[in-house]
Amino acid sequence: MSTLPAELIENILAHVYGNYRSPRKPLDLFRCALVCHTWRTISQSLIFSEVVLDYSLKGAKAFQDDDRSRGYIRRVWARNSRTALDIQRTLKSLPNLRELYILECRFTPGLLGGPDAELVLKNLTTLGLSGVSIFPIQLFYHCSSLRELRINKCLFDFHCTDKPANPKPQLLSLHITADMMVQMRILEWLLSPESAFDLTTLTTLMTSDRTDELEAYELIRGVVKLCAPTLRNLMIDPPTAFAHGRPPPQLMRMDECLLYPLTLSNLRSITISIMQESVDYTDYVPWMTALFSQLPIHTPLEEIRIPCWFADTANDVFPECDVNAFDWEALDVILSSDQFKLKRVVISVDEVGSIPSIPGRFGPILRAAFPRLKGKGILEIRSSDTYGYLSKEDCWWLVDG
Amino acid sequence: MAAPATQQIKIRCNDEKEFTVDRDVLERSVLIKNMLEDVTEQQDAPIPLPNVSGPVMAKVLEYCTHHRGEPLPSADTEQSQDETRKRTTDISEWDQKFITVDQEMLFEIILAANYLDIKSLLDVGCKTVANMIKGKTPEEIRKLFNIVNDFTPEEEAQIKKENEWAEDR
Repeated sequence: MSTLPAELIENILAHVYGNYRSPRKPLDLFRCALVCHTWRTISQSLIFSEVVLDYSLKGAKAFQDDDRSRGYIRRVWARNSRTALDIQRTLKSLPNLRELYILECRFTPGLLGGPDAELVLKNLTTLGLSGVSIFPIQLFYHCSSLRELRINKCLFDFHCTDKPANPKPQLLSLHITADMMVQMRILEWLLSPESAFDLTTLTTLMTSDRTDELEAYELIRGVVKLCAPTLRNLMIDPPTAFAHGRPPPQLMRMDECLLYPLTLSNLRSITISIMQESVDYTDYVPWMTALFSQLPIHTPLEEIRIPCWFADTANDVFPECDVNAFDWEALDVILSSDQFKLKRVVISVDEVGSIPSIPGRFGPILRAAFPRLKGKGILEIRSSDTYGYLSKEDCWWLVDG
Repeated sequence: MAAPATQQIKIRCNDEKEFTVDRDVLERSVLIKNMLEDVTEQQDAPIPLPNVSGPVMAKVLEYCTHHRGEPLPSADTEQSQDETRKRTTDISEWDQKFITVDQEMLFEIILAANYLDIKSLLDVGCKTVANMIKGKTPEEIRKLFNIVNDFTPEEEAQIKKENEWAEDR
């Protein structure tokens, strides 16, 4: 063991730290910290690298008294804070914080300001905001090292007196899953000269809410146009105009619905994020076929993710989605193409609403997908409760296959 | 019509032991894959691998041959996926049998996998050592891996005190 460099010992101890099937239990790592000085440093940096601050729990800030532990903290999930002041007090004491996720927080004007807070924002490489109201957009101007921005269901205060830096920090990853109006507003700002960030080098763009409105779709296209040469991972809704086979509401010509495919020469993975009411997936075939057929011949596309949404039958909003409504036709088009060296096709099974566990529910999906994917890649059926939906017969069928 | 012959590549280890291996097997190693991509002309000279011995390379090649054709992890693997991978200590049945070797060979395989950049093999090695560590006391871990305790009694007492809360869980 003494022949191994520290980086490999760290790799080993990272495996010691919990298992995805069970909650992280740091006990083994605390014992490792008692082995020798080298192991102590590595163990403690792993234990304290990520902290969840739940302000609804007593003692959430106890670690603040421990100078050494604070230095290890690189990632913080701050949730249930009553005000931004809670967060500000905490962050001031974390010199090596790089990733900050704020969940469920109410901002009061001027609170996350001052030299201390500005220094924290300046060092951040990732900022995630979820359920935050009302986040002052001006704070983005202090995030000069930011590479990844995640926004989910937030409200923003767009009042701003500062000017963007020159040059602007270049974002590598942008995730926006806010509702449509907020998504439109934040995208408008990101595309404007006042934006704090440069989007031309994005490698990951994730937008997943419904884009019923042509204007919303146009904004996403605007971002794609900017970063198309560098974009590697894209998640997007197809334009709703192609749903239900209904005629386009406005100027929906095919060329106006595509995503500058000829410039998407670095695309590695694409996720078609369809979550529409009463959707018939086959209506998206023309859009998907046109997009894929126009990608450059050497596009290194390796992975396609297609969601398969199931719905609560007790809920009238989303009708039940069955195997026949799944977009097998589009999948066949993609799989039969020799244009791409696809290594993975991921059919992601998710639930909408609370579905009672019905054994065998995913069986038809499995049986329809598996023969198509043979020799082409990997089928992953993901769900919070997959085992509840596969019957014993389906499992044996899979094993035999 | 016969299928085109697979290109064979020669490699030479630090003990002069040479192997001739199918290219697709060797390309499980990102290091060798990149080296081969950089060479435009056919070369007869073996690729030197100064950090790997013959017996260790033989084990590595056994692993690569068994897993040939499987998709390599993407360079774009998201951090979250990477972390999930780290937290999973399950090892497949074949890999478990393969990695049942003495401790010295186990660490040699880990070092070779790291040098040759074979992520999946590195994972198997690190997970195996992690499984050996789990559930053991510090003293048992030291004894198992022949590690010297370099703490003073005061330091040890201090760390134990800091960790008391974890022992209660």
